[in-house]
Amino acid sequence: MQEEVLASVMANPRVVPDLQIWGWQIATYLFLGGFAAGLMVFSGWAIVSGREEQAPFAATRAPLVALGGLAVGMTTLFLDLEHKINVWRFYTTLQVTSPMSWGSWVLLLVMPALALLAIAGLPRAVPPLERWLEGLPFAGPRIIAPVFRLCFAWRRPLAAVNIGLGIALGIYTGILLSAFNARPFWHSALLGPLFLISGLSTGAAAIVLGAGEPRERHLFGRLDLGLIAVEMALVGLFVIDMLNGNALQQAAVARVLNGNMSSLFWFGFIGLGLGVPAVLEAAMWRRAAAPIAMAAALLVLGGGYLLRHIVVATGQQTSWTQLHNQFDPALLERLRGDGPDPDGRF
Amino acid sequence: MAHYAMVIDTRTCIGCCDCVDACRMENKVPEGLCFDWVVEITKGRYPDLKTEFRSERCNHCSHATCVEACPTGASQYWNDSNIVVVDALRCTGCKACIAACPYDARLIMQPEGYIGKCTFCVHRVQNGDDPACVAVCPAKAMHFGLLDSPTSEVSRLLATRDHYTLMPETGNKPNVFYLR
Repeated sequence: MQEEVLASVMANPRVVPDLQIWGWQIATYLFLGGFAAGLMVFSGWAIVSGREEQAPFAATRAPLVALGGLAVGMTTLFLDLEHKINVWRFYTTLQVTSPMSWGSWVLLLVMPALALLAIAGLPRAVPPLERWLEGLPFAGPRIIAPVFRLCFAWRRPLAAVNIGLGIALGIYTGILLSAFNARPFWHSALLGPLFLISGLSTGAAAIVLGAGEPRERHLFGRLDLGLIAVEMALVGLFVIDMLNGNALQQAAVARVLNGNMSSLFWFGFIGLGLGVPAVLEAAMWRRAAAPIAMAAALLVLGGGYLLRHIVVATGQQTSWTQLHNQFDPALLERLRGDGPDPDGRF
Repeated sequence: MAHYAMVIDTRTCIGCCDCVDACRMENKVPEGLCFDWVVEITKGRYPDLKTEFRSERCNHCSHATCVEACPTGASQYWNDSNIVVVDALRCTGCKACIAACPYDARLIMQPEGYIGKCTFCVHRVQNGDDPACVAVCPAKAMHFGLLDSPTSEVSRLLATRDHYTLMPETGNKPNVFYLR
């Protein structure tokens, strides 16, 4: 039997007794990063594979939506910084051991690649805006119109670049967390693929929501069903990984399976975020109904956010240090050996 | 590479928390925050109980995951040693290092927002002095020095006394040692 109690005060806010450093800002950023990654991959795929007629929303407007989403995500990421004045320091170095450093450089590459793809699609995505821009005095015919033409002519190579960068962005959001050995719940390499597939799924859901044509909506609804199936398998593998992990990881996953996070996990994420949309999309395998497809897509988007929220919050609730800041009445029982688990430390 | 270590004798430590107060004074630690703390560990089963005190802080790990996680290089080893310091001028307050520290030894400085931690009082060490917590210890339970030299006090203590580090299983190679 062993009990560790603090003799002095260790109450560093948001670090001890529980880590509370990353909140909704990081969950939102990880969600929107994955969402943008999914849109980049599907938009690039629609262009590269010659499906621009079959999937007009994916080929033209999706990059604009991704750009907007990522801009919001990067804003919440900035809001999370405690020492905002030094934000430019991310771009004075590349720290090879830091996933966050890699991620900040990936974002720097993603933004222009995505912006160029959005420009390539703009004439067909929002024709009035394109006409107005090209009609601007001086810059319109001399700069803006040639840029539109150039981006459109180069859209296939741009699309290929966006597929690569999209996969990098999607997988990075998971690797960012899995690199922290100090937080048992995050310490699984499965988080990278899980967040990538979830990001692709939310990207497909966004296209279902935005698509004007039933054919495109149906195509991405079916694609999303496959992605949900893979995501469920990855969640299962992740849980198995934690259950077979060390004592800290077992305690961490218990919070999700039957602890303080369990209702969000089972009802919110697994039920409403994966299960119900999978059933709805399977029911529409042959013929899609727009309202049902859109409801399923909204649930997928909600589930994508919940996954990030659950992983970010649970990872912070589990730590190697197990200190008590004040006298715990249960301590006496445990020292006397009549507690529920007299030999357990965790 | 200079290899600094702190050796703390849990047999002579009386848990007076002077090290905590000395650190607050020396490093002007903002109110409500702390770079070091004292843990009381009780082992055994009543009535056969045994208590020891342990003064804890950043372990200045030889394999510091906080330094690896830092995206800007603000978290760094001081002068090619194992002393881990934060350059406030480069720190963005992204908190990756806090998440990366298995000892929860890092904190957000208030109100500035950069990340703070124990520095082994590097401003004293470079002048040849001991860290403030070591210098003030009334029980002389704390020792500081270089492990590179086999004749240093810390090397001799570790060579002759049974000792342990906190959670070596993290792989961080901590450099604060506790004598049993």
